[in-house]
Amino acid sequence: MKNILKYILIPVLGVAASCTYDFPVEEIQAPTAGQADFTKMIVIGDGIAAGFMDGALYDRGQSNSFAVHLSEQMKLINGTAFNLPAINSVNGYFGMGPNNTILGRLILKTTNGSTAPSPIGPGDLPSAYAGNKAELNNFSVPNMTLALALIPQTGGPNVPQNPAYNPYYARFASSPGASSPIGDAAQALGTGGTFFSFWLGSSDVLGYAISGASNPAILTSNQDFSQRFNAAIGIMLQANPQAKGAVANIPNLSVLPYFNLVPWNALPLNAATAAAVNQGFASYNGGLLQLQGMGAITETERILRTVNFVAGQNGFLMSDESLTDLSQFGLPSIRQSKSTDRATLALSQVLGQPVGGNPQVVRGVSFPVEDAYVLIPTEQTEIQDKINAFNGVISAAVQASTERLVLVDINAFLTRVQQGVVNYGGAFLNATIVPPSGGFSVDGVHPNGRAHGFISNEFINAINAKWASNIPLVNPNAIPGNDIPIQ
Amino acid sequence: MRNFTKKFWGVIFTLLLPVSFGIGEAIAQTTISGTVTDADTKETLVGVNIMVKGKVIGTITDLSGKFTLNVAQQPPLTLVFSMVGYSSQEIEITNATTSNLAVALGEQTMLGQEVVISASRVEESILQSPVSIEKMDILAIRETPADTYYKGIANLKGVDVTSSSINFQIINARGFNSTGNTRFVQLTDGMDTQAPALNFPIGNLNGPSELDVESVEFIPGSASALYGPNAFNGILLVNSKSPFEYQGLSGFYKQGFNHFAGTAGEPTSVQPMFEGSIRYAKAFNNKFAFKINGSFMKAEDWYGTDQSDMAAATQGDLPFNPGANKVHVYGDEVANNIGLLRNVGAVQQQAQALGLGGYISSIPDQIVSRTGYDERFLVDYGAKNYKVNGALHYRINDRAELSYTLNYGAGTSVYTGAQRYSLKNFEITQHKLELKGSNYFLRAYTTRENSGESYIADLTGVNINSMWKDNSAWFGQYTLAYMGGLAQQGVVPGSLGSIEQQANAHNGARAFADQGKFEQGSPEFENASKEVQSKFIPEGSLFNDKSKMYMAEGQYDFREELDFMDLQVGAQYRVYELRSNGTIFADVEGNDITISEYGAFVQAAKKVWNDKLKISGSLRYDKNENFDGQISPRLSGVLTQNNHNFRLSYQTGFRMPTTQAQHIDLNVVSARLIGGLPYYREKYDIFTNSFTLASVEDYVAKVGSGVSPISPEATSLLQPATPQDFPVLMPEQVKSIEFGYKSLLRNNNILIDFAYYYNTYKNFITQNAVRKAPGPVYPNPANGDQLAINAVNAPTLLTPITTPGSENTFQTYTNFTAGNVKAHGAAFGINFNLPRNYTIGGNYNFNKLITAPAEGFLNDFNTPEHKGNITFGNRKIAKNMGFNVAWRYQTAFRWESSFARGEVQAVSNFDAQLSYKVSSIKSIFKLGGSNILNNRYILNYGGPTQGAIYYISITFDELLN
Repeated sequence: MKNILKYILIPVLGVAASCTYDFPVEEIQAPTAGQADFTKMIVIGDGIAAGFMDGALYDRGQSNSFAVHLSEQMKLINGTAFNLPAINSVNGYFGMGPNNTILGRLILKTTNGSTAPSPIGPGDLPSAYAGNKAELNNFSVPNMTLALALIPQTGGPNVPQNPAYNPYYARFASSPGASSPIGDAAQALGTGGTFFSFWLGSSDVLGYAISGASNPAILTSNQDFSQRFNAAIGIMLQANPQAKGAVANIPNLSVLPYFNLVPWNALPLNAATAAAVNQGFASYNGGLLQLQGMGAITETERILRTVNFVAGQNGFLMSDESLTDLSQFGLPSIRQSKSTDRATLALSQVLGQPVGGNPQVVRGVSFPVEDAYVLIPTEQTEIQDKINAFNGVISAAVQASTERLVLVDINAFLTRVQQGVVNYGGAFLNATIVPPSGGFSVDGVHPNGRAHGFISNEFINAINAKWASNIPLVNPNAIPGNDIPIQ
Repeated sequence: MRNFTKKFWGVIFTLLLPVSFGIGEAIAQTTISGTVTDADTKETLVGVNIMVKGKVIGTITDLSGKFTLNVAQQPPLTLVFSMVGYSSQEIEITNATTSNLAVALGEQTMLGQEVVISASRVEESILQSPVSIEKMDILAIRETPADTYYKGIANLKGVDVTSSSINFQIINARGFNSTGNTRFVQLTDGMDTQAPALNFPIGNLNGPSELDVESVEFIPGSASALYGPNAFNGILLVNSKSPFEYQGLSGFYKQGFNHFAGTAGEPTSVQPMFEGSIRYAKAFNNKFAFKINGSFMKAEDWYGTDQSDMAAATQGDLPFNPGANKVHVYGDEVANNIGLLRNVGAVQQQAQALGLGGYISSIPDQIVSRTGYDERFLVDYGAKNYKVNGALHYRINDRAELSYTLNYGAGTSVYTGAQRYSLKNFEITQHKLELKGSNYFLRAYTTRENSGESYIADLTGVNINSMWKDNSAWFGQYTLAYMGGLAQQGVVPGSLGSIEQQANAHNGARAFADQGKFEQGSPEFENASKEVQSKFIPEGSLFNDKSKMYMAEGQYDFREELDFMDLQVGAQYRVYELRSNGTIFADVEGNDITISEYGAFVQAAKKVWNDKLKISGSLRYDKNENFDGQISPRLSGVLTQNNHNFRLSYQTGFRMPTTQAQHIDLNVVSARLIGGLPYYREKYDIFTNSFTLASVEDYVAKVGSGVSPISPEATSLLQPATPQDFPVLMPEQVKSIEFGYKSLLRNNNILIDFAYYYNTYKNFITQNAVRKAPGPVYPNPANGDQLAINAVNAPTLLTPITTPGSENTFQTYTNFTAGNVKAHGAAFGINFNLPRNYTIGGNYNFNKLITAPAEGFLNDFNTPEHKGNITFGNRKIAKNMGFNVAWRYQTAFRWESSFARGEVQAVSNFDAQLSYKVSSIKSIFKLGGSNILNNRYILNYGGPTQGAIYYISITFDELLN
């Protein structure tokens, strides 16, 4: 009996030793490079890649571009320093204000209960980059088309005869007037670069769209686009035959708040005003009826052109160069806007305002809104066709070098954003400029910081999938989006 | 671990074999025979128990009061004659052949004569027990006025009984009560009755029936030093009748009624309930004996009808709360801040399409909950319980008895855990193999849980709602209809509208979003409910649990080897095999979770100072694979001077966190419950962008009062959750000092008993919760950037995300380490034996929490400050008649649990019974009632509303004297 303890303890300890639970090993993979190498990344692009947002290139925007976040994530693997041509300006340069004041970036301001983008206050003109240009990683330049990326004139001289001049390139060009942006980027890639991001082409069509499709000269032809795109990407690929790259495409026109924020019927009138204004158009409307009778225009066009303001929201008066030219009869090519027209954000500043200081001449009521503020349906179709064609070129170029390039389909991503299905941890991103969820900065064209976080993840997912690497995702909710409206 | 079962039993058998058969048979024989009579009436007594002192051998008297006993030992030896209701007698036998021994037993009328075993794990007089102990013997059980003996336990001193169903009582002592009490151990015939996975005590779901229970011993206060982990605030030992000592056929039937004068939502007519059991035991040759018990009960359960709103803080100025989360309504746990929908693209687009775009900014930051269903439509109230208990006993020789015991219980009940669980066809099976001598035992047993068709009621409501219309669609429709409602009332776009306009819009929005909802009780509802209940968690609400616990323990008493002192040693080993298949724990296929723990103790006692002072001490060591080893000492002294017994003890106890506290991984709608082991915190990354739920609740209340969710006035209330707030789970310790006094006065006709305790809890185990944002939230934003980031993330903190896999709220087990939790209390009891067999007794209990855990931690003291009861009865008011009444009262107190928090009102209850014995048919009739005044009361917040039960019962016993 005294041995009872022995009988108990020996087997008990035996069983005890064999009965310890092992927790499952979590399959969290360490960040790995896979078949790519992220030691030194070079970025070439336009305003988005430069971190241009809120109508300006300024410190916060520049340091929150997808390029910066992507490089930070690459540093978790083997990435090294990622140098920007730091702008060193809190509010950047939006434009010139009254009395030649320099205005800084846009912010949402609430005045009299309505909220709209407005310059935050004084800004700074871009100054020359003082750092070591040889160590730069980001060669992106706002408003840079493919053509500008390829030519030295982008860097100067700054003379009226040189329309290519872009102060954002001139400030860090390795040799202003002699070097080209692509050349500088290729030089950097050739000097120890291992990876690059390439996002050019948007400015080849969006510049045209933003100005209301009023200047066909700045719309790149399909042939030129194809040639220039392949030339530019070819320079990058040749700069370092080992380097791999991610190439992003062009977003659809319809996702940009710049073309969605001002409704087609943005003009409120009361009954008295409407009646008074309508009187002024009685002879125009009468003329249209006559011309229809003469067979100069169809009934459809006559109805389209007839001006009739009512109490409440109205389509604004606008020029439409696609209308039948009736100037020989003394009738201008004007009509009221329809739901198929897209007004640009710029219109919000001038709609309903007197023209030339004359209170009797009101833009959109008695003075037609100019072509530069509106995309009519034919222009929209033209632009969208262009975007589709350009994206086709981009896809084909990536496909042609499929071993070394991966496509980041930003176009599809922004379409998902517009559908309201993109979120991170339940916090949504949508295609507006309204904080907190709006993904576009208040210029209505460029993504804001938080959206850049999502874009970084699009790059990361594409790169990881292509080269079996494991770059950790960014938390976009930790990056500031648009500021809360100020008073 | 798959073959653990086989391995375990293999070890047990190899252990038992040498022990049991290695003992040589003694050759000598002593034969004794005789008759036992009642000293008063001179009638022969049937069923008197006769044992050889210090041996396991014995017999009982037959129907004519005669007995014969052969003992394999030479005289002298001592026979102990005992019988319920009689004083036991010891008779020394000196002749090898003694016949016609005449023994007369006197009726026991004196108080304080009980012998208890549990306080020191050796037999001792209840008066000299070193700690407080209470006992219910067969007579007390038979005479309890409550409708079951388990409820009768409530009349013991220092006990707290709560209940979550008509057939589910939970026992506690010394505060910190809960419906699944884990600071208190219940043993049935030495087997721990805690369900291995659901962690609630199954004591009266598979324990002995009224016919088979021999005694109930109750120790309020820590007993860890002897009973190991978790016997922390006390222990309840229920012992069944040995088939050697209690033989013959007995039966019991009780017809009861409940649901008198039901209130809203309860049955409108009286409901019948019944209970029946049968027991048969027989011994052969005093060598082999068996018993078999079967019992069955069925009743309409008490209903949960509490419509109190647990989310009242979010109501704001509205006349009603669109975000209500009512206690016994399920599905309304799913809530959303509709202000968040301002940012959802789909809602914006639809609003524009409907011409409501201007009202986007009229959507308030108001929490709205889905429309829920009443508990009575989601819980199976058909309470029932089947039990089968059997035992085979074999006396290997005079010194060793081997037994096998089976306790099987199945039934339907309701358990209040983190939510209300409808336990449907739930099964608990226990098998035990035990070898017992007079100075040792060795036992091994297993507890096997089968959740049957049990499901979570809350989750059922939630899933029925999602099945009909998913949450994002419902909230989207609600919000659009809300905007429409504002437009209809002519509210200016962009403004919030008056409170009345908002209220109208909320009403209209709910009616719109609820169009086509499955109405509770409708066929569509029942079909959906069945479908949800038939799918496993998390897709449905069905548990799939077959967890098991294995235990081996042994104890040896050195009484034969040591004279100068008492010395006992013991050891135990236990393994939990968690098999919830992902419905409670993360034990999905390929991840079999086990937990093993072992422990050992030594206890010594010595009488000094002319045997007036007994000093005892014990020391115990325990180790669980997940925690550091624990040492728990106990030191006590009992001073006996004439009729005065003073006792003083200092003891330490500890409790291992429960299996759920260690490993739970379950979405309970309002949160995901996760175990307190570090693994689970890492798995869910609970400290990133996370805030203590207590501070989030303050934030929610501030937003509810009309402050913007991104205003620093609201966000500054948020407290980041840090690992320091959530220490990695470890065992909890208690240091308990107890002083007691017992005395017998007036010729043993008055017994007084007083006890005071002071408990200090260290590393108090509690729960704490966090809510995570999808990105950083700066409580006090330093600049516009931080404010902009807050605007994205802070509003998401307003509501829990309930979708499994993307939860934002995590509730975990942790310890309160910032200080000690302290509680103290006292109990005073007095019992009188009055002339002509009347007895009256009463007790008063005081329990008070001195230092609570910090705010944010669950403060689950859950015990009324003052409580008392008075019992008055007479076992023999006339020749065949007896009665007993009991009155209980407790003051109001606050109840906090992970299910619900709120006030429990004072309870005052009368139980009464009248019994009548008909000797000709060997039966006792009993007429009685629990809560005969039909007060409507709850015992815990979130528990069902109880009322009166009236019953009549008949008990037949072949050996009734």
